Amino acid sequence: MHYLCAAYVLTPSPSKRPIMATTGLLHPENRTRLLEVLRELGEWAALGFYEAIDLPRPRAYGRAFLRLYENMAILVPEGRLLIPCEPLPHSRTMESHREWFATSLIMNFHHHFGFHILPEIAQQKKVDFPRHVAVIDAVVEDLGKRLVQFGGYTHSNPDMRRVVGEGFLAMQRELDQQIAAVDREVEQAVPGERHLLAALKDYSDGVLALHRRTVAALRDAAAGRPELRPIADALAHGFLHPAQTFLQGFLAVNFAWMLDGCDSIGRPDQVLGALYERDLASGAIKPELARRLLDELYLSFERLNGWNLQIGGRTPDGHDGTNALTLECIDACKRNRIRRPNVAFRITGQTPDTAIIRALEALREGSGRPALYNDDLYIQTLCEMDLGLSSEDARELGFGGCTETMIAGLSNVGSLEGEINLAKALELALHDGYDLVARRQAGPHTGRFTDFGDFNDFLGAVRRQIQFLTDRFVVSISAQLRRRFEEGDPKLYRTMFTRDCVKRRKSFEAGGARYNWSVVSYQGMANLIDSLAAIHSCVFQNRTILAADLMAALAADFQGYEFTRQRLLGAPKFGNDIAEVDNLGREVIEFAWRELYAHEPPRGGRYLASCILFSTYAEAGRGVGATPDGRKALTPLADSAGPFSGRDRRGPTAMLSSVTTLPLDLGVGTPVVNIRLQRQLLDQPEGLQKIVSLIRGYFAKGGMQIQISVISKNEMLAAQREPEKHGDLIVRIGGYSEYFTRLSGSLQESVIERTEHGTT
Amino acid sequence: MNSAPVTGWITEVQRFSIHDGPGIRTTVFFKGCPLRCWWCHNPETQDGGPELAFTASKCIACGECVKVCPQRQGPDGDTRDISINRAKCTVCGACAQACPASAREIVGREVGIDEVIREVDRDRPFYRQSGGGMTLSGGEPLLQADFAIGLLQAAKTISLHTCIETCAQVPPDVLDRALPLVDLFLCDFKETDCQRHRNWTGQGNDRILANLRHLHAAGANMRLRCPVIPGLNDRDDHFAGIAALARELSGIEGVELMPYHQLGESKMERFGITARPGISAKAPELEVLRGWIDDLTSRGVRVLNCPA
Repeated sequence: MHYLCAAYVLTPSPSKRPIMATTGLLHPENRTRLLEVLRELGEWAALGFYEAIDLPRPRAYGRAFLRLYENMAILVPEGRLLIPCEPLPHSRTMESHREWFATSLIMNFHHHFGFHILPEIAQQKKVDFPRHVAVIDAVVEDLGKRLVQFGGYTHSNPDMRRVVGEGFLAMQRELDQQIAAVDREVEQAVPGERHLLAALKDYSDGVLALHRRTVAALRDAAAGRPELRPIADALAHGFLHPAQTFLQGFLAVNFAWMLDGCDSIGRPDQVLGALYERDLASGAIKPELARRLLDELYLSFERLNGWNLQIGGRTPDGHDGTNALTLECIDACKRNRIRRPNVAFRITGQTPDTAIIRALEALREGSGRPALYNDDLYIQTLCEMDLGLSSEDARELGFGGCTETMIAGLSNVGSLEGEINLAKALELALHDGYDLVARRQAGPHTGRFTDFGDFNDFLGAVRRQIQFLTDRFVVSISAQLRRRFEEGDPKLYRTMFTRDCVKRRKSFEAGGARYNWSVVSYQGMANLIDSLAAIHSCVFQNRTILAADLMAALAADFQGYEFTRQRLLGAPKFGNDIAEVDNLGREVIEFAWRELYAHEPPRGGRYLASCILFSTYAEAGRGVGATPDGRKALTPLADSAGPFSGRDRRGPTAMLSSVTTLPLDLGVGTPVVNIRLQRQLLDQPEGLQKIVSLIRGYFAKGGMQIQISVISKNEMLAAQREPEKHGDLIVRIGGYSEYFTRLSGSLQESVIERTEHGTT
Repeated sequence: MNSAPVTGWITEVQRFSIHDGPGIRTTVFFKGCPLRCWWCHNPETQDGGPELAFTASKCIACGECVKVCPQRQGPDGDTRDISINRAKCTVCGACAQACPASAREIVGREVGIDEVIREVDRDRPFYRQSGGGMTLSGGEPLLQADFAIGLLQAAKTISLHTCIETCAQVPPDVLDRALPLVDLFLCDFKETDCQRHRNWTGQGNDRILANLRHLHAAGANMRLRCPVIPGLNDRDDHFAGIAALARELSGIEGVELMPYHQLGESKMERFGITARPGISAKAPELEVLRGWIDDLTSRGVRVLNCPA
């Protein structure tokens, strides 16, 4: 997703210096010596990798995990119950791009990148081991060429239902059966399948070693900390066999999450809810312990850059799944004011209002979680999408990363493969294919703006540029993905923990998962819609701005054209339930998304459109010049699928009605909508009930997803500085609601003061 | 008999109104009011016709307004002075049309019943979820009786829940016409003492009290809405009066206290209305409000809202 750039930061640039003396070190004759040095360096993954370097390709990856998990240190920090608490020892978060990594390993591991090289750790090891500088340089250069990263980014939810319900030994038995079957098939067997299965065997032996060693480390530590004894006992049984208690299941989920490199964990409340309710009733677990474990899990998500978990929603047999653990997951959002995990609350027609109110009470505390999803519409849409989904599997829908739609434990979803910038398409259409920021002809010639006879001519040019950007995106990403499947890390951990990969004898990357699709995000939707509406109204309909003047104003970034800019700003805007604007939006967005659906991803399945921008809408705007919606050059684009900030001025029902005019179901990758509410709207029981109605009304109209943030003092201060950007800020004064920016200065001050009282 | 379609003057149709009756509602603000309350929080609805509003913070001082103003004798006038001479202004709207920044706006528009109902109906999914509907407010909706009744009839035709917020300073026969069409009356009761009422609102309260009794007798669903204006009506005798009235009108749902706030002041600036004498009130303290709520409750009155 948006830390995509990290892939390239982490990929080492091959050293240009020829290392004549060391090339010999990697020669097969010197293998034993190389392995000795790697052992001395504590480079366990590299040790395994070079051990199997002459075997068919996936074997090296399997052996790397085997040696890593046989040897790496296992830490049991003071005060922590939820062990393991890092996927590799001595891990820390890289502040620069918030990726987690282990400081102890040059050959490192990450859920998306797989095995990769960290040059900065090589530098440190050269200082620590001056006699091995030549080997380290040679290995870094060699692995740098072998462990190549390609485009796209993949989040995933491991198959936690199976981990908890069947246990890892059952998964290993399935693997053994496949190996035996391949052996019987001798002649007909595809060679690649045999090697993949053999690599998986090494991998799973490594997992068993790590599990055994973790239990032993816990038992050792329990000598001084008796509270760890039940943890050790529960983990000893739980991960290997079907979980018999909530504690066993919870520890198994955590263990599998660590093996996956701490991405997302699917539906913990559905996988563990029945065990939790049963153990709660029998007294086998106290809620305090469950809460402590949940808090530790959430903290791990925060610290290790973990991503998503999903709660609520339909059970596979179609009932609403809200249970006691769902509520505990919600309350954990309230207790822990941190940004992770992204908690996705799937709301069905039968989700009790009380559960939604619990979610609103958590949101009131200001951490922005959980996000709320229209579960029934998601399921229906996915089933209608021709993705080959059974309805049972569709009900297992989940989200990876931010909110990329997938099926928990059953899918490989490219998330995100990349982005298509609709504001850029608009810019190209305005300037005959010329990119104002990059200063080059970037798109096809679609005509000069001053030559368009009517609005529809111009709309045609916009469509052609959208088509062009879509084609260009698909061609480039498909080429990268093909190479990734063939030459990249086969992702053995995901192959083992994603259903059907072993059965199909196909790696996760090569399409072994039951379902494969790709999520693509669209940027600048509201800027495109608002710009089209402004052009329609000001240039073609009311003719208050001449086409040439608009071009001049955009080229000058409105310098000296404030009058023109104000006219553009005064045109009707998306987010106010104005039919002519919203219909224009629906038409052009539907065109853009259907263009995407016309293409087929290389792994099969579909490209799913989405609008997932989060904090990246500022970045996306840096490549786009001034737009006819009055937005200045290089400034942020619209926030996700909602209106441009501050332009929705008719209240939340009008804003949400506009949003539901868009073909949201086509954007099932998740069309994110952010709404900001003032804290006091959620303070009283009747206020909470009205917000529940607001959400249900939005879902009834076809809304897919909504994220509620609660207004902070800082936002109101910003609204005072730049009122035009915060026209949608609603505050309560006395018993009434009013827009913050409509209030006089002194009144704003008094509201800010009062809110301060409310939050302390 | 081809009668002209009924139209009315309003300021706005406000969606997501959550303090004007049950659930999520859309409130239609009527223009024109028989009272002139000192603390009015919607001063733009007092006058029955259109008005010119000016928001200084939006003005980019381009001078376009002055160029087109017929009172400023054509485009050659001094465009640096952009102040409004309200004595001369005929509210022709030329300046508002010319203003690129919406700093000048005409507030108040004449609308037809269908147009308003179409807008109100857009939030039907939210009414259905919340038990909400349409509220007529203002201003005094029943001052434009035919329009108000027409809207209520149209709302009932499409099965919307209806509320009306009224000051009750209206002819009783208008109330009778509204009665069968209104699910809930939100009736203002501002001051017990008739003389004070006349002083602060321009009218006594005898007709209002008579109308409230009349509505109650006719079986209307009612709530009393009582503004709390520090320094004016926040007196023991007035709250005793509220309690006595609430007990007398035994069938009402209860009382809502409406704490004074300064919204009206900032609006007055935009409409060039001079602030009323004697109003320097700040919003009542939360503690004080809670005290009045307890006071009413101890007198056996059901207080419906808990102001925050």
